Amino acid sequence: MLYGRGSRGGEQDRGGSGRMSDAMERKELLLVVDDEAGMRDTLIDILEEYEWRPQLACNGLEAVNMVETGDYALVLMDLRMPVMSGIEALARIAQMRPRLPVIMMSAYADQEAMEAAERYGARALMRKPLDWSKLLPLIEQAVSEAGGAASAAD
Amino acid sequence: MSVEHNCDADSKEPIDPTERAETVRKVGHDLRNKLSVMRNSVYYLNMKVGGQDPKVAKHLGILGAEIETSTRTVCYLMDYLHPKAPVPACVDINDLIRGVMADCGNSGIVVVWQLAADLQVLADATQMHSVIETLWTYERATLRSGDRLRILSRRERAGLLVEWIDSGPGLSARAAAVLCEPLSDSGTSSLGLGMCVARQAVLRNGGGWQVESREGIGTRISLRLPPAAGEAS
Repeated sequence: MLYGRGSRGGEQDRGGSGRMSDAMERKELLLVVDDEAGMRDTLIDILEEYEWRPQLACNGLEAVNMVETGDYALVLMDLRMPVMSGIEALARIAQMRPRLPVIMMSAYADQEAMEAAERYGARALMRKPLDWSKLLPLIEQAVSEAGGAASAAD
Repeated sequence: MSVEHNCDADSKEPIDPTERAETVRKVGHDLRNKLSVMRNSVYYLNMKVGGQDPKVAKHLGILGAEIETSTRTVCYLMDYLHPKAPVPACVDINDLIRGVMADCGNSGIVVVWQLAADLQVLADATQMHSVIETLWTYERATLRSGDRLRILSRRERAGLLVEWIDSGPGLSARAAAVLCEPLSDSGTSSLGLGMCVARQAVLRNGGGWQVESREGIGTRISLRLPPAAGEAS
């Protein structure tokens, strides 16, 4: 993780299959934003294994439009994307839904991008390849602290 | 339709350094994205089938390790060809070392800590993190189970001293001389980029770097780092 606010980085993930018991309810809706199809496919499969309900956007503009109408508990978004960058989308989401936690991802963030992510209130900036032992607890904590779907409260 | 390519040697022009840096950045970024997808796939397969068959688990482990190595190489290459200017901040160097080496208990290496309390350096936190990661990667690749690694930090007149002193196989005079030379033939499979980039980062942050080694005795890597304001050195 390049930076994170209030995270408990380094916690162990659940290990093993990672699946929760069938008796447990599915968790909240997450928005996954990345222009790489492979990244979207793998993120969605892993998050579903952990009982999250991920939805997908291919760029920042799609993400902003989906946040405007959807009840997402968290946004997991790439930094560099066509049409609208992750930073621009983050700024717009911060205006629309200030309490909605956003975790940014980047393969190689420069100082300027890190500062922008922090300025617009990103919960963390995770380096790609992603460290799932840090990302999963961070998602859990961010969603729990934001109190589930953020749109209703905003 | 045929396309004619002009391969005349006279048409070759030196690549503009800015263009080269931008190309490296873009290619590196793209490769890291691909490696990220591969790592996600390995993580998913481990969850679904990793525990079912020891050979499947073994091959997933091999894939995972190769992805990690490739990711490191791409990062080193990007840092080597496209170094970033440091953004100095106050960094607790002991916390940084302990954080990076959190897994040292599983390495089989006997780590002995001799860290002076509350050592704050003035350096780029991300770059220092990479330096410590590189040193730890180097030690894990070099030392065998049961070898000893002493990690020392203390205040000195010339700044803050951080040392890695290992009881490993040590380096020949020639190997020690080229340890931080990129793409040197050091007699190992390593490209040597990691240590080169780590040394460059320490120097760019206003620090000093020294390697002493004797075959059969071990290696000492010493970093001198600038103290943060208020740090009594």
